[in-house]
Amino acid sequence: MTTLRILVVGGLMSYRAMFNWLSPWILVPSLIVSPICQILLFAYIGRSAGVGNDEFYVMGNALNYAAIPCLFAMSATIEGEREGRTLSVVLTTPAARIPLFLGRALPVIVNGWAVAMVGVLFGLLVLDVHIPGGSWPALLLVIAVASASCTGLGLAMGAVALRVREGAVLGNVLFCLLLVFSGVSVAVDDLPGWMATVSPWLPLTHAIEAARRVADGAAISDVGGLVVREVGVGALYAALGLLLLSWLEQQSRRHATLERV
Amino acid sequence: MQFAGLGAAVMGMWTCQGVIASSLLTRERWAGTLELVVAAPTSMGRVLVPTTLALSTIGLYTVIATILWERWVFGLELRIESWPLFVTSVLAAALTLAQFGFFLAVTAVRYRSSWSLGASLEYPGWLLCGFVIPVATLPDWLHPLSWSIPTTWAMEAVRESADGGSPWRDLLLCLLIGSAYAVLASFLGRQLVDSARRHATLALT
Amino acid sequence: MTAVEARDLRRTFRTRTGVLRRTAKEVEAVRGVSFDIQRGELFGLLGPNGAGKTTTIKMLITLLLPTAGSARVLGHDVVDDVREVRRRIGYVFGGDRGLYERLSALDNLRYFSELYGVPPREQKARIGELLELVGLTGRERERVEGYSRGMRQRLHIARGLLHDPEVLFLDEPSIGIDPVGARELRATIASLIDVGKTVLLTTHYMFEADELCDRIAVIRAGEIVAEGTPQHLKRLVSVGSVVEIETYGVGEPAVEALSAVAGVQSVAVEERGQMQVLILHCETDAQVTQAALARLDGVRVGRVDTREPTLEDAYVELVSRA
Repeated sequence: MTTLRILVVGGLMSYRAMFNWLSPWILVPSLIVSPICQILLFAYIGRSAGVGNDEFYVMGNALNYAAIPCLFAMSATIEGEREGRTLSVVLTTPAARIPLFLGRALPVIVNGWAVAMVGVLFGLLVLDVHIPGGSWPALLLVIAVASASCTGLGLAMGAVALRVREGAVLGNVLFCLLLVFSGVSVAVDDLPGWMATVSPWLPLTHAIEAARRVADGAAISDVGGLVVREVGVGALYAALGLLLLSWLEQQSRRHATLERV
Repeated sequence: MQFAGLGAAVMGMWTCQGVIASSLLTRERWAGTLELVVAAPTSMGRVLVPTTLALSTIGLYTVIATILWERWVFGLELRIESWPLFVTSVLAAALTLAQFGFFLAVTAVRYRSSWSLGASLEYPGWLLCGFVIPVATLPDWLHPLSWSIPTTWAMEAVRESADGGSPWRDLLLCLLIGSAYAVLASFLGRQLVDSARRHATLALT
Repeated sequence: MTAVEARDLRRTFRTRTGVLRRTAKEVEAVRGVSFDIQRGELFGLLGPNGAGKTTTIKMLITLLLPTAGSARVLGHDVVDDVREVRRRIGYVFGGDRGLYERLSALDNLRYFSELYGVPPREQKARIGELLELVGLTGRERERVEGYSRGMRQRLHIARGLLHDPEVLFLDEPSIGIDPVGARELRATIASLIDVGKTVLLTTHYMFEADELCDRIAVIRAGEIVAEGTPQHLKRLVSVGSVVEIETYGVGEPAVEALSAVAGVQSVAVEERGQMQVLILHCETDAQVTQAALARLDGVRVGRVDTREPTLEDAYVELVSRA
C-alpha cells in the first residue's frame, strides 16, 4: 500500500515539485512551437530535396520530440533533488527507492505522449498526412509505448546526471543521437551499416517504424513484434537507471559523492 | 550540396547564440548572483555584450568545424569565390548575432521563463533564416519574419560571396537590423530592470 | 536506555585537485568520536565551523558511512540497519535550502508524509498539528519560494517531525533566525523533550546550548575535547572570573601591560563601535580590577564589570587550546 502510494501519489507530487514553474510561457514554446518547427523543417527539407513524404517526417519527428520531456523531465526529477539540496533529505527517508523513482516516470510518460500527439495532429491539420480512422487506437498505443521507452532512457540519464552534473548537455546529445539513429528523418535502412546496427538498441526506432506502418493502415497485430521490442528496450534502460541509482546511493554513503552541489 | 553545406556551417552560430544567450541571466538567477549583477553600477549592456560576443566566437568555431567536417567526413568541398568577402560575411553574422543575443539575454532580467523561449528558437531559426531551405520556398506570410532576423541577411551575404556575387547590400541590411536589436535591447534593459524591481522577480529562481 | 551510541567514529575524505596532475589529499573530518545520548535527553554538539559536527550527524543519519568505528541509533546499526534507523529518526538542517521551492508548505509536508509512510488517514491531522506547532497555519498553501528564512526553518522542523520520530537530529536549526523566532524555536525544541523525544542539537549560539542542553560535547578538529553538563563545562575551564573593562582608544602596549598583571590569564579585545571592551580572564579569587585600571593610566575608561564565566567563555577556551 505504502509502495503503491509512493509510486502514484509521490510520483505525481515530485513531478509537480520539479515542474510547478512550468507556465504557458515555457510550455507553449518548448512543447508546442518547437516540435512543430522541427516537423516543418524536415518536411520542407524533404519537399525541397524531393525525398520522403510528409507523413514520413511527421511520424518520425513527432515521436522524436516526445523524447524532450521524456529525457529532460525524467532526468530533472532526479537531478533537481540535488540542486535543491533536497536529495539528502529524501535519502534519509525509509521509502523504497524503486517506487520512489519509478513513480516519477508516470507523469512524464503522459507528458511525452501529449507532445507527440501535438505533432501528429499538426501534421494532420496542416501537412499532407492522412490516418485511417480504424488505425487511431493502435497509433495512440504505439505513441504511448514510445514515450514510455524514452522515459526509461530518461531515468538512466537522470541517474548519470546525478553524478556527472551536466544533465542538459547529456540530454541534448542523447536527443541528437535519437534524431539521427532512430530513423526519425532518415530511414534506418538508408543509414550506413554501423549506424543501423546501433538503431535497434535505442528507444523510438521500433516505435517510429510501427507508427509509420499503423498510419499506413496496418493493424496492431502486424506491428506487435515491434511494440514488444520497443518495450523491451525501454525496460532495459529503466533497469539500468535503477541499478545505477542504487549503486550511486551506496557510493555516496562511502564517498559523500552526492553531497556536493 | 553547396547550398546545404554553407547553411549547415552557419547554422551552428544560430544555435550557440539563440539557445545560450537567453539562459545567460537565468544561470545568474540560479546562482543567486543576478541581484548582484543588477545592483552593480555597470550597465546591463556592458555585462551582456561581451558575453554574447564570446558566444559568437564559439559560433565561429562551429563554422570552421562544420566546414572541416564537411570536407573530411562527407567529402563535400565548398567552393568559395572570394575568401575575404566570405570571412567578412561570417564575421558580420557573428557580430549581429551577438547583438541579437544581447536582446534575447536582456529579457531574462524580467521574465524568468525566457530561457525556454530562447531554447525553442533553435528550430524556428533554422527554418526561417534560409540555412537549409530557401526562404522563397516558405509560405509568403513567413517572409517578413525571416527578413526581421539579421542572420537571414548574413546567410544571404555568405552565399553571395561564396558564389562570387556582391554581398554589400545584404551586409548593410544585416548590420542595420542587428544594431536595431542592440539599441532596442539597451532601452529595454533599463525598462525591464525597473519592472523587475517593481515586481520583485530578481531573486526568484 | 541509550538512544544514540557512537563508538570511535572516524571519517576521512579524499579530495582531488588539479586536472592534469591530480594530487589526492586526505582530510580527516572526524577522528574518533564517541558519545552516548540517553533517551529523552537533549544533547548538544558544539564546535567551530569545520570541526566535524555535520559529518558526525551525517554518519548517524545513514547518509555517510564511517571510515571506522560504529554507531547505533535506538539499538540499530547505522551501517547495516539503514531502514530501521531511517524510520525512527528525523533530520533537520539549518539554512533555507532543502525544500521544494515551488510547492506549498502543505505539499512539501504531504510529499514527505508519503516517503515516510505516514498512513494516509492520519496525514491530514498530523500535518495540521505540525503546522500549528511551528506556527505556519494559515500560510500553508503559499509556495515556499516566498517564505522568509524563519518560516522555511520552521517548515524544516515540521518536516522532520512528520513521522513522529523518536530521535531528532537538528543541525544548526536556529541559523539566520531573528531573536523572537529563535526564542520560539527554543521553546519548540524544549517541548520536544517534554514529550519524550531524544534530540541531538548543534548550534553556534552558546546561550541557546546553555538554556536547552542536558549535556554538551565540544568537538574540535574532529575530536571531542570536553563533554558534560553546561555547569560541568563552565567549571572545567580554568577561568575563575571575567573582568570586562570598556575603554576608548586603548593601544597595543596597554593590552600587553594588562597581560602582565598578576592573576590575569588572558586578555582579549572586542571592538564595539567606538569602544574597545577588554575581556580579562582571571584566576579564581584574584583581585585584579585595581591593578588593571592602574595600568590603563591615560586611557578613557567606561564601565567595569566582573562576572562569572559563561558557557561561551568555556567554549572559547576549549576550542582555542592548541
